[in-house]
Amino acid sequence: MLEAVSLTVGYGAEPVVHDFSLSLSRGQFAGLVGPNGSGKSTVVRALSRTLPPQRGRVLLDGVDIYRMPARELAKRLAVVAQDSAVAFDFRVLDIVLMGRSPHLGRFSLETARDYEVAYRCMELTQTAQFADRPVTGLSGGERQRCMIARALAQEPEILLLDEPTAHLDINHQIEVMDLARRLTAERELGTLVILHDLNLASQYCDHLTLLAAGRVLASGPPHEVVTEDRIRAAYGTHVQVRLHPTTGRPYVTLLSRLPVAPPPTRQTRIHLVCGAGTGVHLMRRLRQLGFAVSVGVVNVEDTDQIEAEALDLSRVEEAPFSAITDEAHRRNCELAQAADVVIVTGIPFGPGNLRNLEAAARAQSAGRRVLLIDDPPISARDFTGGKATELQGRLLEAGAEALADEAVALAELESLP
Amino acid sequence: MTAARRPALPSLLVRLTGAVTGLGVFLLVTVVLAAYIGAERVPLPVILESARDLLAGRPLAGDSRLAQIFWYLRLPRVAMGAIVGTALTVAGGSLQGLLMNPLADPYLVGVSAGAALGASLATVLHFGHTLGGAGRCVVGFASGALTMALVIWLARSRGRIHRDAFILAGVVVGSFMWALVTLLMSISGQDLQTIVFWLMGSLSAEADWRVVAVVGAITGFGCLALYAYARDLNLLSLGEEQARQLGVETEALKLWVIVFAALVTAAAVSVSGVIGFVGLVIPHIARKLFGPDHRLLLPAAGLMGAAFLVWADTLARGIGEAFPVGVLTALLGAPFFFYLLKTRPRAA
Repeated sequence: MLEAVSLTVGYGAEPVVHDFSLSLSRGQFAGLVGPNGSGKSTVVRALSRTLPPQRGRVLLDGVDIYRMPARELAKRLAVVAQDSAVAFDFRVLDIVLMGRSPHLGRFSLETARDYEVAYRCMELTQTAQFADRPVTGLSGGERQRCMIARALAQEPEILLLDEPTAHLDINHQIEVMDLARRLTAERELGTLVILHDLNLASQYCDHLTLLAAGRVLASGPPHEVVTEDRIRAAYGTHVQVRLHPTTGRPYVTLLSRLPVAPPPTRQTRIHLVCGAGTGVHLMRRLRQLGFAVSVGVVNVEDTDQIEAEALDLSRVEEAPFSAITDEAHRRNCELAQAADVVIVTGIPFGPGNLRNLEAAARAQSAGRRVLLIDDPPISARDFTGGKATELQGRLLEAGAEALADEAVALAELESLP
Repeated sequence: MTAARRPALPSLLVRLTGAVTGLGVFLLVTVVLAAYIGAERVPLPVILESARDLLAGRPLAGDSRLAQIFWYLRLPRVAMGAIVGTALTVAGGSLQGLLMNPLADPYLVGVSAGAALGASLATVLHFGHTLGGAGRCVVGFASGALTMALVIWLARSRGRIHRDAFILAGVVVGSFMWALVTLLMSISGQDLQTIVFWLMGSLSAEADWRVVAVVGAITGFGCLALYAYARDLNLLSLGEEQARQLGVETEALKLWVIVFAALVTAAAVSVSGVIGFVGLVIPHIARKLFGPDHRLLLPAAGLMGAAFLVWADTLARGIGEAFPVGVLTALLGAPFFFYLLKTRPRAA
């Protein structure tokens, strides 16, 4: 087990990392994340006996690694550096055999067993086919895998990977992360990965440590560490964190700080009554066309709500899967009446959201123009026992316009001032 | 299936044995031939007869003048050429590995300039013939070693040698020492020619078996010590930090490689002056032929350097007894180096 106990470490008088603690046991796949300059690589240096801490200790099974000979540590702890440049054109096999070096005496040459270990590690990392090629001729991903093979050839208990996916294409990122994860399980390694990509970290790691400005901001399982508040605190930027539907891990979406659309250029104000994703496309197009757009009533976490939030539209929200309350209905009516045109998308209507249609009716009686996008037809999406169909019929009688689909609606609206 | 994918190249041990045997035989042939070739033809029976005398511990019989030329003039000179060639190439190869720069040179350390200063000083002060004729060598070696210490001291800060600082310190200290050498030359009067001749690099001056033995011992010891760091030098090409994470005590590595490379360079320079390009070009060629593994590269380069310098000196002797071999190696080495530079496959 590798333990960092209250490390304070840096290069000059001013420490870069303060009071850093971590424990990594065999079979564990842990990640270290944080913004540029937060001290991630400094931590790796301290943990690998290359930068002595100013305070605190690094223990491997209870023994201070700075009191161990470098060779002894190299038999038990391997590091794959971020920069894998090699000065001379060694063959891949030579590089992997370098991993055997801590196990060899000063004048002794590699034995058959050392070659055996090297070949096995190359097979695990799928680099055996390059064995005879000069390492300087490999692509970034191939070289990274060769360096992982070299680290494995050390036969370590602990593996530290410093941004193994930097400069790699997404297919190689997945390849390298899958490999690291698999090896952790098969060889019962304790693996610590430094990652730039929060989503990769969240997806692969059992345990994450979030570093910001040299201090541990959070530490724990991904869903405790990757939260909107903590990411904002660490990176100073707004993100949206959702549970990924497939992996069940937190998934970070970056929110641009640029305005998503220019300020409204048209006088016509449009209120969009939508939900269940029926308004996603329309609200973005309308904003792009220069209309002022408001939205109501959408349930929190609903696709339409997420989009409206991303577009920063005035909107009325309701708790997830809840019926529209009196308060939300009142505000929805206000927004609808403040607009010039009210559009009702092809929402499925149930008892919980029928009041959306009532709000449109109220706006119509107040003289607003109402457009109904009847796609699919109301009969196919009426789950209120006919109440919605009836209400829509009354709206049409009172002069609301029924449109075949979204495209027709957009064509209709484009001519408005 | 696994076996089929295994590399075709034989293991290091096989390659090492092959290279050392092949180049060793070549060097032996070179030494014998070079000692045989010369202005004065020494007949083979004379050599064989005198060899029997020497082995039996008898004084040389027969035509003793020719036997004297062979055993006490040519052979020590050839042996010195082999030793100096080995010293310069092994030092050059090690420094190229240490600085991760294929263009490094044993004279980079500033040792040559230091040794030259000491030797010039010994000449001007007529100290050269003290210590049984080895005075100039001893002073040259000592001042070379002192220069190395100065360069290391300059390149060190907070217990670490910085490789960039080391190159800078070597160049600057070297320039300073050369300025002093030039100053000495300008006031040396009738000794000027001796200094100039020595500076050009020549194996004719100190060809004496006792000097050969001392320089040979220092070179042998230094090269063996450098060889002990061969695998560490391999690891260093992954970068200093990675080497440390692979168990190399990098500060010790840097210090000792510099010390031993400087030691053998100082020994070589103190007896032969400044023979250029051998320590730069030969390791370079060896790397092309045998690959970058220093465990194979250093011995192969050492043997190649020895043979090369012996042949170069034989050629120089053929041109004229006073023709300095240093001029010849520069004349041959520099154009070859231009060729290497222009045909480099990748940026180094």
